[in-house]
Amino acid sequence: MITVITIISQYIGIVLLTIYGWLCFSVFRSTDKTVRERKLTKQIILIFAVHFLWYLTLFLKTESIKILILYGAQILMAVLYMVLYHRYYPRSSRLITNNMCILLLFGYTMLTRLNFSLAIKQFLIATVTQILVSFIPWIMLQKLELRKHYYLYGILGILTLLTVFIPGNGLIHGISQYGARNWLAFELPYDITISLQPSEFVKILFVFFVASILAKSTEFRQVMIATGFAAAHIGVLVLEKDLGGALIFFVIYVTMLYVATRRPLYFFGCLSGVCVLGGFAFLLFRKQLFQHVMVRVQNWLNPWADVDNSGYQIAQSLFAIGSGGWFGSGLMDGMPEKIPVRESDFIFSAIAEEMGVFTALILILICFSVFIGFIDIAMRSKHIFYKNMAFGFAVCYIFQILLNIGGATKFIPSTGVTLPLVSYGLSSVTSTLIIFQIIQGINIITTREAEKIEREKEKILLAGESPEFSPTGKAKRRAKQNS
Amino acid sequence: MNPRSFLQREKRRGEQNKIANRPILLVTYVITGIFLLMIGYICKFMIVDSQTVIANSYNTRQDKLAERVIRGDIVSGDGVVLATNQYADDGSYTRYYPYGNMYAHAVGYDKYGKSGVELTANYYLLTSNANIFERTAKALQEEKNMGDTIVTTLDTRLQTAAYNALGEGRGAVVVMEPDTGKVLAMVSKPDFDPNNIDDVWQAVSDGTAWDNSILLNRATQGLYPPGSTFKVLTALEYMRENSNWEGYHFNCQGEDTFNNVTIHCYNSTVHGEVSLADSVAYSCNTSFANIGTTLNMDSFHKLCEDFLFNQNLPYGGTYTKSSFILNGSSDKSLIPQTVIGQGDTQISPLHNALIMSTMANGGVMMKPYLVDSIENYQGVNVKRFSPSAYKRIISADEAAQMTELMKGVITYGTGSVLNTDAYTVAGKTGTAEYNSEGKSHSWFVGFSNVENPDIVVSVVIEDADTSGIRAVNVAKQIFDAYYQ
Repeated sequence: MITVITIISQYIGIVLLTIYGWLCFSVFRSTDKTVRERKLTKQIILIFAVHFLWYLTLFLKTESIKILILYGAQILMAVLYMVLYHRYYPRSSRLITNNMCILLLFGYTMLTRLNFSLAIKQFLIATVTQILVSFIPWIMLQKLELRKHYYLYGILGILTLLTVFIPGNGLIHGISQYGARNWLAFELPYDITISLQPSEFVKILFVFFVASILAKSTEFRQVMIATGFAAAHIGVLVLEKDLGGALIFFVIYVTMLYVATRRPLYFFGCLSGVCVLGGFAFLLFRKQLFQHVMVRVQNWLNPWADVDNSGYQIAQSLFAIGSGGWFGSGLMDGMPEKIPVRESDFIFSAIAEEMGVFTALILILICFSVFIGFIDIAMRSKHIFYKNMAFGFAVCYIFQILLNIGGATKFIPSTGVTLPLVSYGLSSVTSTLIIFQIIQGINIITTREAEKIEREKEKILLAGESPEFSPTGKAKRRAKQNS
Repeated sequence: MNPRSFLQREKRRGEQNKIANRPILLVTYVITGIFLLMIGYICKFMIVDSQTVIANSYNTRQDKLAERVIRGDIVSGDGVVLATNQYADDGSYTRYYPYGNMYAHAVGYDKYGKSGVELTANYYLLTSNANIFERTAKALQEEKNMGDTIVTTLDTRLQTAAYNALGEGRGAVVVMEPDTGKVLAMVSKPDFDPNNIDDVWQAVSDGTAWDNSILLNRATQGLYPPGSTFKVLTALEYMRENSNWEGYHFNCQGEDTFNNVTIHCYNSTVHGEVSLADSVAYSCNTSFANIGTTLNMDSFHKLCEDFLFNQNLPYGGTYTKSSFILNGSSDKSLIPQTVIGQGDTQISPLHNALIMSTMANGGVMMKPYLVDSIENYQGVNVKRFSPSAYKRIISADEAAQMTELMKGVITYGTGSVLNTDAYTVAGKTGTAEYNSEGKSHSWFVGFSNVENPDIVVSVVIEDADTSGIRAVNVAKQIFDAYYQ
């Protein structure tokens, strides 16, 4: 009986997710506001339905009461959040909120299945962060002149990146992992250690920095200063041997530079500059810097040559994805525990194995819809600073998705990047939630302004003023001052 | 502000915004393209590659499949059942191998980490491609489905001939098709009965088995000095370095000294004035040692590595890598022994068969394989494995020239046992001394027919002087069986 229920839940879940994925994109096509709102409400219902089916399966297979409690807590938080958040920020993007919820849900479900205590931790991290970062749009609405402090963002970013070099075992010190020194540990009382990845947060400062410095001017001198700062960030990451992180910063910078200046020359200039520098670095520091990069590239080209050792991760990931098939083995019926770092870097493979590759493809589409949502906000915003910023975060988000999923599926060499909101990880979840709230802030500001303009236009139309209206001398002067 | 300038300003801002959005759109298109590629790649992985990937014997998920599927049968290329299940009254089943010892190493056993086809095709055996309604119905009733049947490339006639020809001898035989890479027969002795694998395993782990190497598949895992069969590669290197090799001649005295090492011909036979063709045909050690002293050892080392010494073989089953150590910086006194196949060089019978297939197939090495196709339990084809080339290793001209030399081995040289009207053979015999008492292994690798090769046969007999079995005679029985 249990088998019948779980198999039926599995397939209904796939159908519901497919509808959800479809709505993610059809929302952009609806110009009618009420149609759009209805679609977004449908999405919420679908999220709760999928949530129910997945946790039902987990409960039936484990018969653990703990799972029911976690399920209840999640429902409570989700309802509270959706009601309160939308009440306070009626102009926030509901699509982004919905997608954020379903991505967290993917993570919660898979972590509950893989490691219950991590699922609890992830739930607590996300909930507490969610409450704290809800204030971000409110802060952004205050007149803070965020665009003026670019040197502050740049210098603060570099200093924060440098903290990982703090030696020893004191209160705050850096840690090395997988050959890169890119973690910072806080030793708290009662033997609690909190590890953070500073680069996850510096990414945000970096986008602020690039957006603001290039919003001020895109003259050659300004571009050179910006490039100098960007090179310093990337340089520190290379010294940490965090080449995946360096790659993300580089891509954020070149695309933002291109969008802000509209000059392909800068884009290709930076690209070739990095190629030349990278080439030199490769020749000079082959041993020190590129040892594990070369191993990763080799494993990407042929993981089967050394399945037992260096090819182990990617081979296990592919075994998982392939064994699950299109529709998955069903929750609890696969063997995702065989995949190394399944809770973070390779969570995509675990999802593909148990929920199926088809669901995993929908997950990719949902992530892509988040990206399109970000881009949509960037395109609507008429403030160059916010436009730059929304675009920067869009690239930052989607590039991370590409590195993570591409790495897990052997589309590209694996770089050890998390899948935002789905993977377990304090830094990853917290920094992504901050980004989502900043985007919501930009959306609120942009929408408010657009509404104001619409109101003005309506007012003019109502007053029956024709565009041929000839201004008085006073109005002319005022128009001059304003332009 | 007056309405007109307001509207104009907004219009201008709208236009500026459009211009500002152009690069954003461009970047978005590029990223969309990359994502479509990635999704396409994942679909391609699922449709084309995933079957082969998950069938990899390192995929431990396969054991989980056994909870839902009854292990399928293994049959030979000519349709004879080689492995199946015997059911008890309570529905449980044990694996049954109708041919007992004969396929012990090729088909293998399905316990204790598995071996042979049971290991390499494990995933397919535990996957059911039965009718979808039948499968769904059984899944809902929580009953097991029938696994797929593996059709191997093995040929009962050749396997039987090889098995009988080896007799009581120790050694191995590999028979394969040079143009496809299909392995037609694979025998290793001493052997065991896989139906009694529990007892066999116990005895081997206790050390009480009559021979503790019975589980070793000598055909793929046994490493032997190649002896004179290695002269094929030495001759090839000489032909590469000397375009006028046809003018080579040497006066064999039955014994000579090169680089301070004395080399004897077999039984110290004096071959007199020999050409390169004669040296191959008579397997003249002194002439080859003489050739060896002229060779560029670095380029010879490269040739051997091109032929997959010290490299992974393109073979999906369990095997051991062959080794060839000598290079330009090695001690010169090692050269005379090495070029005649003695010294530290080691090779497996499968690898020797691959080298000979490369000669027979015009210089292109095909990937050897044992699983021909997958059928569901009712015999409906599910998947067919097609032959694939590993690589071109030597030119077609070189392969033809080498074949010409090896024909002489049969027509007037050491392999004259195979000189018959029924078929034509090119090949090389070998006697590989493996200890100082002059104990030796007997080798034969060769193919028939020379003009249009059908099969390659690689035979090694351990300690041939004691058993009195010679590899070339074993090969003859296999060729006879094929052409009868």
